Amino acid sequence: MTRPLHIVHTEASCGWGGQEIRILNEAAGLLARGHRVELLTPGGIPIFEEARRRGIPVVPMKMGRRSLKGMRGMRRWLNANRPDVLNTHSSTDSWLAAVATRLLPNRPRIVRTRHISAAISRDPLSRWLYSRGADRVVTTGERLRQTLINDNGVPAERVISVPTGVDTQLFAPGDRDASRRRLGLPLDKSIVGIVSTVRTWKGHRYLIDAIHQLNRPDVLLLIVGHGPIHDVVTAHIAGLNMGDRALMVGQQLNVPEWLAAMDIFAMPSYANEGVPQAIVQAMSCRLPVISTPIGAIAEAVVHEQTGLLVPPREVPPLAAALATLLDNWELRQQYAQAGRDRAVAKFGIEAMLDKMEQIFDEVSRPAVRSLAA
Amino acid sequence: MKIAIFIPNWIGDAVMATPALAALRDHYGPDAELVGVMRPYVAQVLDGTGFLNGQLFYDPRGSQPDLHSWSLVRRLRELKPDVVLLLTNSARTGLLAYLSGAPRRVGFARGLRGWLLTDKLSMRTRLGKLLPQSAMDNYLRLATLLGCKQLRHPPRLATSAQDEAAADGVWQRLSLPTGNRTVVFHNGGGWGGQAEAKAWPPESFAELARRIAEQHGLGVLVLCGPAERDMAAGIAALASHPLVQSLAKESLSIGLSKACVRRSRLMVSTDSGPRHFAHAFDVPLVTLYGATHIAWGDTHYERTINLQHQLPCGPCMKRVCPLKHHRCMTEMTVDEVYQAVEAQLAQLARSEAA
Repeated sequence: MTRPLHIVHTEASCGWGGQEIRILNEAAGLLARGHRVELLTPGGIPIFEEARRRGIPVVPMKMGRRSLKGMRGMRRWLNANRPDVLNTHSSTDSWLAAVATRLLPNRPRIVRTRHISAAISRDPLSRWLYSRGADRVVTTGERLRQTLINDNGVPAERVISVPTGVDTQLFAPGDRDASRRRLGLPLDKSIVGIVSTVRTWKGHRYLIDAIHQLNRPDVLLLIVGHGPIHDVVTAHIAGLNMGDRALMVGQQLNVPEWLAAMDIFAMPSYANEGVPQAIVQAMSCRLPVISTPIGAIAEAVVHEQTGLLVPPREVPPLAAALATLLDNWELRQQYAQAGRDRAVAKFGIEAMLDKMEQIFDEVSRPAVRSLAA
Repeated sequence: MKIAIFIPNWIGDAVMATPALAALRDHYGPDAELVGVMRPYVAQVLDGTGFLNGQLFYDPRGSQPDLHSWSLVRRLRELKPDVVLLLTNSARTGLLAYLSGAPRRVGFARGLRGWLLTDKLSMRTRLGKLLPQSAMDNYLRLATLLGCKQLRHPPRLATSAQDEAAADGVWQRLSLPTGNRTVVFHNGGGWGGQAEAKAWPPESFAELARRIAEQHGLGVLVLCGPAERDMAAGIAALASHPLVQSLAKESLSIGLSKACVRRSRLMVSTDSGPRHFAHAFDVPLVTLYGATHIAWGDTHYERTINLQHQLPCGPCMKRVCPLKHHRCMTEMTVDEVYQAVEAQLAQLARSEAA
């Protein structure tokens, strides 16, 4: 148990996805452990509204790149509130926080969470942001950690991997047929599903092509989520004349129910991944997973133990992996159970909170005179 | 807002609860009614702090029936608190909180107690065993759960004019040097003086006292509780130096002990409750740990030096050494403690010169 801490999260990016959900889960979890937690974010964006809904203290704050006003605002707020730790999450707020705290006496420590695996530019400015500009860097997987150490020269002892914790009670195995009835999905088909923001690098296109190549009328592709290329994906399905075999249901709040309706979870990402929450959630719901070894995915999905990993951006291996699992009920059950066990043991919320708490406490501890024997 | 706060039963824990009390007073303001529920003697610890504006005495196994549990339930129901905050961990106090009828009951969930609480925290455990954790931090976390925002209150206590007068009397009778020229010792055996596990050998304390008196010309006063008079008198007698005295023959009270610590230059103590008086009055401290984990009583005090010997058998948290050697304390030498005392005195001289 650490000291109670005053922790402030900053988030400038206005998306809604795994990153934002993790921030809110961490905030809520540490609030419930008796810490003081606040979120600084531009007013009105999705995470702002959701934080309010969940009763997490949130402060509206202008955050623009090269915005002197934004920086002054943040500096004023930090000076008045004196948190122990700032946990930054996106590029813009990380810059603002790093610069705004520089001249504060007893400045709050900065922990930067890097949620995605996109390569970080090696220019001196970025190097400064990740080394001097942050007291600790948290990545969502070990692979990302290694990249930061090897390619960007961040000292190893300052980068820690803390996989995103999933609520394994909420994301629990469900009754497949009951869920399908409630959601109006067919009972007589095998359902391959993906839950994710519809973005290019999540690989929806390859998944659609693979299902098309399989050409089996008993298989339905279920696409849950919304995103920037939603229309492109819709057009792609229409172009292949797959309207009856691929279903796009948009963003859904009750994700565990949709996962419960699936037989196989597939996410053929080809870039920018940490450990995607959707994959761990699917594992926690007792689903076998087909994915790629991009980012830190392989830390969650163990090839031939909890699912299958295939090369990114290739349709035939993906189609073959789908066929393997579709045709083998026992193998699916075996991977599914192993996945659930792994999710509970390694990716639960409590495990994540323990680690984050430890990092926040260590980084903000005043240097103690060490005269002890 | 009316909050009934169950104050911990031990002196040290009560001092460690003061940051949480200060945070609550800060957060709810001067008009809030903060009522302490506590053992009568604990009230002496908190006397004069002003954190509480009411108290209910409670002693479930004491000789006075009107301090027993049912009487307390009746008094709590009359009080009608909005919140009951439990800084105690027993199942009994959980039940009392439930029976009080308060809509909000806040505390640590252990065992079945969680069912009785509305807002709860769980203590960190590993394989079902409690991990060492600072009681002060735990109390503060409970206060934070109630919305308190200021988390860095240090322990704070106060003395009354009466306490100070009693200490004046002691200083006079024992001819101790005034103007913070006296070091206080406390050799608490631990757990209310009922055990020996925390004690350092009296001969060692006597030797340390003599060195402080001879080398630095400082007075040394050995504090004690009612059960520790003989031990305190023994240390003073063994030291056999006019500057080394004890409270053994004085009329004892918690208030007197507080006043003695407050006017001292430095405190040297085992892991006893009264050692927290030092932090509360910002007096430098050297703490000698034996069988106990430093973490449980950690108040993050910058002016303390903690000494502990790392042994394969410890820290065992036992009241009496199960191996009968008590090496954690007997092997701690006067030299190393004296070194820590010198470091503290030097630091003090530097800060006084600055």
